[in-house]
Amino acid sequence: MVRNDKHRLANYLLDEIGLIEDRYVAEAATEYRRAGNGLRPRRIAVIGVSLTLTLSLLLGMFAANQFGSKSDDAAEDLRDEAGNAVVTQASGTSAPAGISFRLQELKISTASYATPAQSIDLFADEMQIIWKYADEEIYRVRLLTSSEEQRMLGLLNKEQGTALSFAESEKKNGLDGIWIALGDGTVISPCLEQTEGNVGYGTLFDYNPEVEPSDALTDLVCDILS
Amino acid sequence: MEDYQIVDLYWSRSEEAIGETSRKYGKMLNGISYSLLSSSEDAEECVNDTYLEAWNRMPEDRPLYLGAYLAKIIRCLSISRFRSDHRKKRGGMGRITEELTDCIPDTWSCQQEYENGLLSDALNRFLFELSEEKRRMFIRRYFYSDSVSDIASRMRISPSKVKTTLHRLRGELKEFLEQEGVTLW
Repeated sequence: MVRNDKHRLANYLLDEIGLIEDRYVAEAATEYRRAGNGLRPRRIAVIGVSLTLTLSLLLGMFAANQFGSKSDDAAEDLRDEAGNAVVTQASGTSAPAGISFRLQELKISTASYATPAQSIDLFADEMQIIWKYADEEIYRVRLLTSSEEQRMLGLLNKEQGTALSFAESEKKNGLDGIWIALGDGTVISPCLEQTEGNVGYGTLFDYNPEVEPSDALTDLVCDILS
Repeated sequence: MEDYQIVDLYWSRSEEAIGETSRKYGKMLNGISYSLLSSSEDAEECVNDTYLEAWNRMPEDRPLYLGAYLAKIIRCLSISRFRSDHRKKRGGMGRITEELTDCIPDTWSCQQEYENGLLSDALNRFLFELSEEKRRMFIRRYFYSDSVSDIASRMRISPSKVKTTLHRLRGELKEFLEQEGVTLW
């Protein structure tokens, strides 16, 4: 191939690069945070020693607590009856550490984007996780890759959520709703038992989060979104 | 202002749309155009043309990523301007086109006609398979026309690593296009 021909074809390629998907163009415009920042060995050693000392201290305190005098109160139960992890709130009451809490603490990756509800395409032939924080008007969307879709479908077909009674105030912990859109219009609230009560079509329907997703689905959602 | 709010301004034909766009994306758009044309004057004209183009296209279009939408417009306008101005010998576009000749599969021929859409689909598949770091590097170089040093600075890596990675990516793209059987016809 002569040089001029190659240049002509390279120009075609240059033009076509201008037609790549918007999400890739948008991703490249955001700040990039590398995974792992190449800590120096000495700093790694210092961190390692600090962690070891802290862990030893905590283990010592735990052991002392175990073999010390017992209080009249029952030992703190770190899991609720349903087997979900709980966190103790400042008031001393326990609340499920479910998907709302996990999402609040998660560092969401830049692969997700914010959008108004009317711009969400539920028929785009791509599976999406869609969620909305209580203090925002917009929705957040993350398109799933093929492998993520397979993992999600695998869980959706077999896991069952845990029925809990949320107080209305639980919504203030951050999440108004989270949905899994299958791409063909089907929208599922993630209690994972696909019954009439939690499957909608063509719309992000409202629902009371009376069923908490299983730990397995919560872990998967957080893994995908982080 | 969020993208969807600015898009709403275009849709409601509010004069604030251009102002808000300029505030949020003016610098980025100028940067893209200048990288290709190496002329502040020409870049400024392309930026203004981009605003006009966006105004004319919306409503009809409702982009999800306004920044990407505008970037594509100004890139296209800047490239066209570069090609139509025969006096232009400088500019980043010449270097970038030269690099992209590395990506041309041996099976391609200039006698073949160009089929719209086939190549961009393949490019999207290629980009999907890349790690985020490599994808960003590729797009910053060949879409945004960033210099190697700008990319290195942006991604906090050495310029030599950028050069090496881009060189490898060009080879990988060539191989990918050959394996995919993408031809121009």
